[in-house]
This record gives sequence, structure tokens and C-alpha cells, in this order.
Amino acid sequence: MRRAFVWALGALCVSAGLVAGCGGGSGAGLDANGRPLGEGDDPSGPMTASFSSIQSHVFTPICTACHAGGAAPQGLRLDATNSYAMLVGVSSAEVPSLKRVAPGDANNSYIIHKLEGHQSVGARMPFGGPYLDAQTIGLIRQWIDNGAQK
Amino acid sequence: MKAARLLMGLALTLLLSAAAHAEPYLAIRAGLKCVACHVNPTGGGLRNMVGNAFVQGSIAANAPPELLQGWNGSLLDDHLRIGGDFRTATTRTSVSGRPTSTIGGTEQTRLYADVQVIKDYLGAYLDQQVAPGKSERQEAYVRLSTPGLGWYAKAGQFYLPFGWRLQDNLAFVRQLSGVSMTVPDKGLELGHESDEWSIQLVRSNGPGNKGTTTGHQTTAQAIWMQPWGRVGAAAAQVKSTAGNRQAYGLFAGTTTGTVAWLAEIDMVSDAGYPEGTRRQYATLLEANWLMRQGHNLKLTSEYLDPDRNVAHDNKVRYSLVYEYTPVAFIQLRAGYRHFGGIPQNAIDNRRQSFVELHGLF
Repeated sequence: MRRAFVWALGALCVSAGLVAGCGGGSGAGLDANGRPLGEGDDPSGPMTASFSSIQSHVFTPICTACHAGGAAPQGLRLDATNSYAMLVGVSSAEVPSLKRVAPGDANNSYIIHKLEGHQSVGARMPFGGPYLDAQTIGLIRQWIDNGAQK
Repeated sequence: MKAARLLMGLALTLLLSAAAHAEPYLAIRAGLKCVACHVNPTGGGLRNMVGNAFVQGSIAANAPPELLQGWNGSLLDDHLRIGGDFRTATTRTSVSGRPTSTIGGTEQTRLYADVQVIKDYLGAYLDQQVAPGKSERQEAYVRLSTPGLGWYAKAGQFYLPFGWRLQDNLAFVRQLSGVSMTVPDKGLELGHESDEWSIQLVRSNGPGNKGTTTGHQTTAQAIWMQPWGRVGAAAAQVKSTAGNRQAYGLFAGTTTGTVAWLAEIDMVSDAGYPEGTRRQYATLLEANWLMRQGHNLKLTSEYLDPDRNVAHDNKVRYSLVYEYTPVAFIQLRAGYRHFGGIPQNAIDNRRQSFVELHGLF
């Protein structure tokens, strides 16, 4: 019994080590978000102040590392199917008096507070960094101030 | 004058803060259970009397200042125990094709308290994050137990038990499992602690079930303790209007000479994705070399397959971290992380170097 568990432990360590010894994926047949080509909006090219561009340049590649699926923090899923409905006009779970995205009012949109690091609750996003540069946040601000259209 | 005030503020913060990081390798190295050193049966957070003695005598390179020797966090005949945690860090990130960025500041300041209303039977625990930003409750629960924690129940808000409770909340296994020391949940935990076993069963809301998303989560974990190390298994099932999710984890730890090893494999199947169910897995292998008392060198290798149905999309993360604990109340950490991912995504191939100061009291 004991020997079996020692072997199991050894095998677990060795297999974890072998798997972890690899490098990153080659990316063959994938877009910059690691999804099969043609599955979503093309994230290549410069980002613009439109929802689809923000989705493919920010939400999908960066935010969905955590904010996706059944365990998304704060219940906020930012995948391409759910993000708009969960952001625009929806009260923040951390500060319910603020909308996550308040159309026409970037200054009072909680997403901007979280991205710029002056949120009243919790950590700046993306959690642990690297944080978005000013130009990228500026485009998200512009999208919100223009009415946060889909 | 301003510098003196800053120094005084830092010193005061350190004096008011207590180290309460979850570092499972310390338990592996010492052959102790999490509950041996922490008030929380599943580890992390406020330390108990043994934990305070352990950090002073077995972790730090030097004895603490005379004034602080013997500090064990206990007040009012052990009816009240207090502590805290302060972390500040500076991180430099390099992403190909972009300017290098450096960010720094307080990562967190937490205060802990545990009140034993009826000693060994009934207690209440609080973990409050007071910085940065507005004060935010992390854990707050009532604990009912038999003496020696043979059996216990926790009700309230707490971190779920799933795999190694790492200090590094951004480890792939913590990110994928959705269980870390930044994501508390509300529910009821039943647990059993014996010489060989540590077992937990939790029924909770599910961290992702908020707002219009409803459901619940069931989490179970068992750890088998042996003189040569320990092996654990964990499972979590989320029922959610956003899509059901199953997570399974296997983890183990042992020592070879002066090296303490941790390994974990997590597998997740999640129906909450646009294309349907996505299956993912992540691994962790960590080696901690005790160079000499107070000096630990940590080498970590991680792997993440974000979608098993998609080829060539895996990510890796390698870390080398040096931890120096000059005295029981301060720890300095310096490290380098190398990320690897698909070449189309520069951020997934970033490099990070960092220095951290932890207040340990």
C-alpha cells in the first residue's frame, strides 16, 4: 500500500515535470487569442474604439484567463458571447452604485476604475498585471463615452 | 522629515502586521499539517501559537529583536488572537514590441482576528483587507469544533479547499481551479482532522454565482499524511445558470534532503463557454531548496492547456524566486518569471522580475 502511494507520488511529480518542461504552443492554425482561425473576430491589426475590437484585443485575450466559465470572479464573464450583456448598464458587484459600463460616462464606469487602478474595492485589473497601457484604456473610454454601442 | 515619517509608517505597519502567508512547502518540509500552524484548519491566514513559535525558531535566519521575542499573537488568555499581513512589491514587465513597464506599491494589507468564545469549541474568525482601496472582508466565519479539531464546522465566508493553498494566486493551477486566496465564497464547511487525514466537504454559493447568475458549489478534499509526505485529491462541482463546471485536482508533496517538492494537476470541464463545454488542465511542479535557515530558493514550473480540443495553444510559466527571512517578522523576495505561449500573443511571452517586502510578525 505504502509502496504504491510512493510510486504514485513519484509518477505525479515526474509527469508534472515532464509536461511542465515543454515550451509554449506553436500557435499553428490559431489567431492571437489562441482560438482557431475564423472562430471569432480577427484580433490582428490596430485596436479601435468599438466593442468588437475591444473584445478581441482585451476581453478575450486578457480578461477571460479568469473571467470566463462557471467560476468567473464576481460572476462576470467576459467571453465574446456574454461580455456585452454583463457589462453595459449592469451594476457592479463590488460597488453596486456604479454601473460596470455606464453608456456615455466613462468616468463613472466601474470598469474604468478597475483598469486605471482607482477603484474603491479590490485589486486593479488585470489582476497581477501587466496593466493596460493608457492608449488602450483611452480607446475603452472613448467607446463608453460614445454610448457603448454593440 | 517626510522620509522619516515614511520609515516610521512602514515600521508601524510591520509591527502591526503578522505574516500569514500560505506556503505549503513549509508544512511539507516540517512534516506538519496546515492546522498545526494556522488557526484556519485548511491553512493560510492567522497563525496559532505553534505557528508563531515555528516562524521565529525554524524559518528566520536570526532571532527576532528582544522586544518581540516570545510574541505569539495571543491576548486575553488566548481568547483573542490577532495578526495581519503586509505586502509591497515592485514588478518590471517586458513584453516584446512594447516599452518595459514598472509598477510598484502596496499589494495588500490585511488584519486578522480570531475570538474563542468558548475555548476549543466555538470561535469566530475575521480576515479583513484594509488596503489597497476600501476595506474589504475576505473571510468571516463562525467555527464549531471538537477539542483538537477532530471534527469542525465553519459557516460564513471563507476560501474553499482545493489543492495547494499557494501564496502565488496567479499560479496556473489556482487560476484554472478558480480557488485562491483572493476568491472567498459563502457557505458551510465540515471537516475532520486526524493524524493521517485531513478531510473537508463544503457546500457554498460558488464564487461565480453572483448577480443574475445563480447556483451552488460542492467541494470536497482529502489529504493523506505520511512520514514521507502527503497526497491529496480534490473535486468541485458547480451548478450554475452560467453553465455547470467540474474540477478535479491531484496534489502531492514530499522532501528529498534539503528540497521540498510540491506537485499538482488540475482538470476542469466547464460548460460556461460560448462554444460549449471546454476542457482544460494545469500542472505545477515546485522545488524549494533550503540553502540554509532563512534562505529558500524556489523553482516553479507550470503548464496550462486552456482548451484540450484546440492544439498548439498551451502556455508555460517558469519562476525562480529567492526568499530571505532575516528575522521572523520580515521577508524579502526577489524573483524572475518567464512566460511562454503562442508566438502570436506577445503578452503570453512576457518576462517579469520583481522584488517584494513582506511584513512578518
